[in-house]
Amino acid sequence: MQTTILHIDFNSYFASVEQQKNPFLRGKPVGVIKAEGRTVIIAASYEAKRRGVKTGTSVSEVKQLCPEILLVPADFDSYDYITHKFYEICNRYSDLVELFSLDEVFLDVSRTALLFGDAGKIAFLLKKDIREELGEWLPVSIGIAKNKLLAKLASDLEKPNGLVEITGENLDDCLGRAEFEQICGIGRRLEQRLRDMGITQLLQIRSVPERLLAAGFGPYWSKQLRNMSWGEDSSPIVPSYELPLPKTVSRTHTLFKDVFETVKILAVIRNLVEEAAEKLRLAKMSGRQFGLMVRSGENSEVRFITRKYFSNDSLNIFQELKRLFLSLKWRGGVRFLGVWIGLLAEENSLSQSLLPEVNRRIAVLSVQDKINLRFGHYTLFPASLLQASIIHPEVNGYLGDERIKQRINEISAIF
Amino acid sequence: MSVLIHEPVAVVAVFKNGRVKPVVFRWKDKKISIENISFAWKTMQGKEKLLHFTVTAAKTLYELMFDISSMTWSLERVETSAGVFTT
Repeated sequence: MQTTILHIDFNSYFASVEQQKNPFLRGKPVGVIKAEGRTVIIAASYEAKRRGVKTGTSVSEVKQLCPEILLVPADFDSYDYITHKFYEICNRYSDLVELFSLDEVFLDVSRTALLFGDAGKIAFLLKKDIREELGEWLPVSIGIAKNKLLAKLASDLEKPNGLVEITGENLDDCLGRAEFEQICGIGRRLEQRLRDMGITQLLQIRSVPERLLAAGFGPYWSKQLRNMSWGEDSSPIVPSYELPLPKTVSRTHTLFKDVFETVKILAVIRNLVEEAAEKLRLAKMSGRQFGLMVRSGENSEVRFITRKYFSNDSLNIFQELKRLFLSLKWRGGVRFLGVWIGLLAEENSLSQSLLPEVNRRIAVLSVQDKINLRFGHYTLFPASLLQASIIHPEVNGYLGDERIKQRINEISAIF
Repeated sequence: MSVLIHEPVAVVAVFKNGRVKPVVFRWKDKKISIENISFAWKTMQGKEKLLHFTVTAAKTLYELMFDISSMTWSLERVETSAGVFTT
């Protein structure tokens, strides 16, 4: 059976959602920033993109490029809501749906296309459902092809609101028109290495001798690049229920300005650990590697410690990270902090502690988690955060913690 | 300009087919008739479901919130067409 994949991609997602919510923003250049006071654009509307505004552009630069730009703070709750509604809509048309990121989905419609007519009809129905149920200002581009690589490229060829099918007839034309950045898997570094070899277009790779390609990119990437140049890709659709459990849980945060006081830096670390460790506890998992990332300007440090015991106790993990931070003897301010818990294992595969003090902590944390689940994040939190402004959980654009969230939902449905 | 309000308001709403649609609300002793609901979404505060609506009336954008558990409405935000939050 011929495989048929659809790739559905929201166009200028965050900015389009803001324009959907607020009709006064429609047709105007809009830049979304993470929060009031933030200085980097995280999404731009099509009107702003046409003026040269891109994701990652600083606000000061944007004001020169497009002085009339309207800046709005991100509202991740509404983006998360739309992503889940979008996912629900996609599931009407196939049982094989992969949520690739917050605003894009792959659908394998090989077995379901006939139920609705064909893949083109499904694309039409998806667009209709999204327009009617989510809003008229949320355009999606859809690509149809025999595999994920080509479907993703197809959706990128016509924006906004496009519908492109790559078939045997137009394959070389589409691959020939594609920029490297439009090919999923070719990042900036790989692109630069290709350019250094004089390869400026995907189709050129077909005629590069095997040994040259292998010498330049090694056995894995030479094969991948060769396949990409012919539009071949065998990667399967991975529905969320088949995602493997994560190997690490992390949380990062960029501060509004450089923070110099150790007590404030430690409070942020504690805050981030609270969130990561709570996620693990709710997912009935534990880790034994505890890591810390610290950055400011040019200075950057990554440290971690690996223990023999597993833990998901935020206080215990915080104490490990506090020691790591103090051992850095960090001079100057801190602008970015990140924590991670790694070498994860499921709790039911670990032996339980016999120490009463450990079991008391487990009981306390269990009550804390129940209260926070019932009344909202940080209803109960450590007293050391009393003077701090709490950093709340937010949606990760790449859905790195989607599998953890799913596991938490599965567990809370049982208990 | 976006202004945070977060005040309880009285709302006339239609509940039909499992959906809720605000129609009119009273704020600062003025009756405001909703012309269009531009977007509706749901958030959770713990186990409590909150429904949010951005609505327009007389060239002004309002964000209304309905707390399902307490059956109360609040006006969360007001934004005029003159401009949006700038940094």
